[in-house]
Amino acid sequence: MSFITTYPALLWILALVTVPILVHLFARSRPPSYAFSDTAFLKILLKKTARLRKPQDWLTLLLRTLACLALLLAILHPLLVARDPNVVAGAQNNIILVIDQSASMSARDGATTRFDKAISEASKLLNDLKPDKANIIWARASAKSEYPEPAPNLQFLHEALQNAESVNETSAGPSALSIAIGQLQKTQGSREIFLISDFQKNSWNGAQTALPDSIKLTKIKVASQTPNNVAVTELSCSPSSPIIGQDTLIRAKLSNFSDQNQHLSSYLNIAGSRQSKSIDIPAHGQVEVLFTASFSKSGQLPITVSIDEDTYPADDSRHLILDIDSGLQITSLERNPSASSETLDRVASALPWLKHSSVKNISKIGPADILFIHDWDGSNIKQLEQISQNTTLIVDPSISCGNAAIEELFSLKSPSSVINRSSNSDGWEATISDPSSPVFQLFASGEYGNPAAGVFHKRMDLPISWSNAEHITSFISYTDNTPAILSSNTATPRLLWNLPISPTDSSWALQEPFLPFIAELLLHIRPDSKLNEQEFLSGSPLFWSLPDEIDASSVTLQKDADAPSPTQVNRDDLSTVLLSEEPAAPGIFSWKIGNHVSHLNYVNFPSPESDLQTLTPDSLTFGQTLASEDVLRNDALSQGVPLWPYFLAAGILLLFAESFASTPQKITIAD
Amino acid sequence: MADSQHTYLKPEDILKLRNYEFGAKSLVEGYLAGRHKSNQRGSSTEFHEYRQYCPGDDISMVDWRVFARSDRHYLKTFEEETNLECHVFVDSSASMGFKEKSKLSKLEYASFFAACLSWLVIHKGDRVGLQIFDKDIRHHLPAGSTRKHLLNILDLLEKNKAGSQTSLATSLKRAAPLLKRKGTIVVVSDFFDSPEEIFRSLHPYLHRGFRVQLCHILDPAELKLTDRGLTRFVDMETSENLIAHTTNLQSEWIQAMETHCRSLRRLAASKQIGYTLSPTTESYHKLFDQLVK
Repeated sequence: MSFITTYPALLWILALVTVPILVHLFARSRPPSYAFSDTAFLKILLKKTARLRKPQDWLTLLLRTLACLALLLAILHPLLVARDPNVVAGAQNNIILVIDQSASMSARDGATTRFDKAISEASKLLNDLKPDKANIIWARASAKSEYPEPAPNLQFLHEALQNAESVNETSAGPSALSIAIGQLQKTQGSREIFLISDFQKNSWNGAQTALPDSIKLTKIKVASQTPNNVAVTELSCSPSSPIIGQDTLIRAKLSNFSDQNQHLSSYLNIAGSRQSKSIDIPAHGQVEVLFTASFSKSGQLPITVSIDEDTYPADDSRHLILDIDSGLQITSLERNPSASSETLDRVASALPWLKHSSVKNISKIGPADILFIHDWDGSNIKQLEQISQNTTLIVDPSISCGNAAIEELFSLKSPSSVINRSSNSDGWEATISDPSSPVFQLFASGEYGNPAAGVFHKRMDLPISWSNAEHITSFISYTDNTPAILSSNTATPRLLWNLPISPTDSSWALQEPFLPFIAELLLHIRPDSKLNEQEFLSGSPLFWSLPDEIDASSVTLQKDADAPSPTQVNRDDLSTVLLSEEPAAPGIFSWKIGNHVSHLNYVNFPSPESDLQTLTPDSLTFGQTLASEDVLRNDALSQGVPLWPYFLAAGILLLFAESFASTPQKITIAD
Repeated sequence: MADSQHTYLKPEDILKLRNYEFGAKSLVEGYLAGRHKSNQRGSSTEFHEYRQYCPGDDISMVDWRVFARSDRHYLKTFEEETNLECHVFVDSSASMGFKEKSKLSKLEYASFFAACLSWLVIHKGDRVGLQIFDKDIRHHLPAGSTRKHLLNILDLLEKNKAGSQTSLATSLKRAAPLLKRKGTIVVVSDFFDSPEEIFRSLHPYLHRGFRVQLCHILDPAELKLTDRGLTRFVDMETSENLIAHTTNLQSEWIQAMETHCRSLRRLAASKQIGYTLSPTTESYHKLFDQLVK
């Protein structure tokens, strides 16, 4: 039970309670003068009555002050906030607390974190509002509700609040609100949602929700400060799946979300070996830190880039699992053995990391990094498109290949004329179209010669306009601008090959630069899709489709050096999948059989959560914004017992008492 | 005889006072044969007593007939009839200038009364004197019975202003040698003094056979102390300051004044002194009613 006032802004008038005291003090010091005939009697009387009068004076002053206080309190309209249902009548009160549990809530805001503040606010609301039914919905990557619908057991919710922690996930705030709205629509009585969040700009900017009129939504912001944060926001490797011995560029993007320039060190950690670099990041800027490394063993290799710990350490590191290949597999699809395939055989024999094989039927293509289709007749487009999800296609069209097939596979516009195959005994020469491409980086110095050197006697007269298509990169073209090697700018490149590599049709394969060019080309046109296979989003469960030879019961899941995480087995007719029971938090996870690491996964901190800037809840179009104190005040205003009549009556009674106390008994004098 | 030019003696007062007979019940001492009995043995016709001759007695007073019968010398004494001699003491201290609820200050009220009394006494052929005092005798007019004497009294009263502190005892003590003959003393004052002190100072007069009448003049505000809240009281005589809350003191003040007046009345009764309390809001004719009872 407590008191609040309807007009807290007028609390200053309570200072007026000092007026009687001041009047008492100042009036005593400067009372009006009165010329009287004789004061000797008064002196005697004062001496006699002083002992009695002083307490009476103080009593009078006390009564006056109390009367003044009571009247002032009556003006303030105080309310007695009582939660006794017999005292406060009202309909069933249903509330749902939607609490932001995202990563940004773990940022410190003063002495505590934003999440701690949110928990405190939620506890206060549950304690003071004492709803008939309540529920808590955690707004994280996947909203989680404590009850399927609001329930009367508040103790459970209090325990849930005590045990809750923020998670390194993004916030699906609107989704959580939708769930809350759905739950409240099934209830009777008053319905209210309290959205407690830091209202991180990245999460809430432009958020919308359809709020019914019957549901009241109150936004409570728990963030008042924006910590200076620097984060590792991106990590990538080039190439994404290097082969043994290949120089690999590891690229980390660091973002400064503070108003100050930051100087810090970044660290690359690869299987215990460590590199560091000092960097300066401008305020609200980004820098890219580059590390180079090469690897001597094939297999999965965890990579971590980190920075010096700052005020928000959750996003100070980022992980990556590199699949290091022992070599590349290039497969030639040809109906008949061709000279071109033989050329590739020679290339493969010269490059230790390259293996070449030939198949005649598309259905017999095994796992390959690159599929070279010789004399493509335009068939099997669907299968090729499926294969190209993970395999780079190099398509050398034959004369029988129609325009439509090329257009479909490469998403090119149809030319005005039919594409012909031409021959030229004098031969054509080719030139590099895009010298800035990494494919030609090796040849920039000229040490390795001209990769396009040679004379070409046969070609397809591909339209020049294809070179200019937006999604196409032209590596090499003929001197008359006819495209020679075109590449689609997709995750898994598709190359349209218009350069004969058989010694009978060109002298190119006999040139010295040919071999390094082919090597560079093959290394740089590998798909990047493998990069993300081991990555899971924070908050989602990890899973591993077990190879047939592995028994699920022998596999454990372990994060870094932590204790094994619980897993469950999902089996169906086709596969056995191990699934982590808990949502994944940022880190590197090892699927182990005994002490042997069989498979690696990694989870990174969600980059959008690194920017800890918040927005004003009022900028959201739904709900009203209040501090929790105001929420409680409003609630009390609607349910409290008005006390002003009592204070008014008390004030009047005190005034009567004061007049009685200050007025002596009348005595008449007899003559 | 009435003079309407004087402030303190009005024609209507004279008309009212014509029928008053002042001092009829008491013995007075005078030097003229008059309407009043004298307790002095003198040459009147009313026999008083015989007493044995003492050396120094007037031999002419010896009753030779008694000597012839008893061979002893006895004096035959007679009751002497004489005129009345009245001495009016008017308190003119600063406190007498107080007025609040009345149109008249206490001094003005006392002056009206003194003027009327003087006229009455002289009108009846008696003698009246005036003593104006505060802490000492300020003015002394010996008893007289002429119209001119009355005019002098009236002039003196008109010129009189409230003075400084009051000391009734000192004034009465100083006045004693000035009063040669016994008579009636009428003291008009607010008597803001100890009753015992006041009556102690009257003892010499009582011993000398003076008849004493005390006229206690008070403003109603002094009787009941007007409720003015917290007030800085400035003593009109001493200019002393005193801060007091009248609301708190009023009942005690009333009780104290009642006690004071009762004490004066009791002491006066014990010494056969007349005492009359008159608020200034009441007519001063009430005092004459008391005097002639």
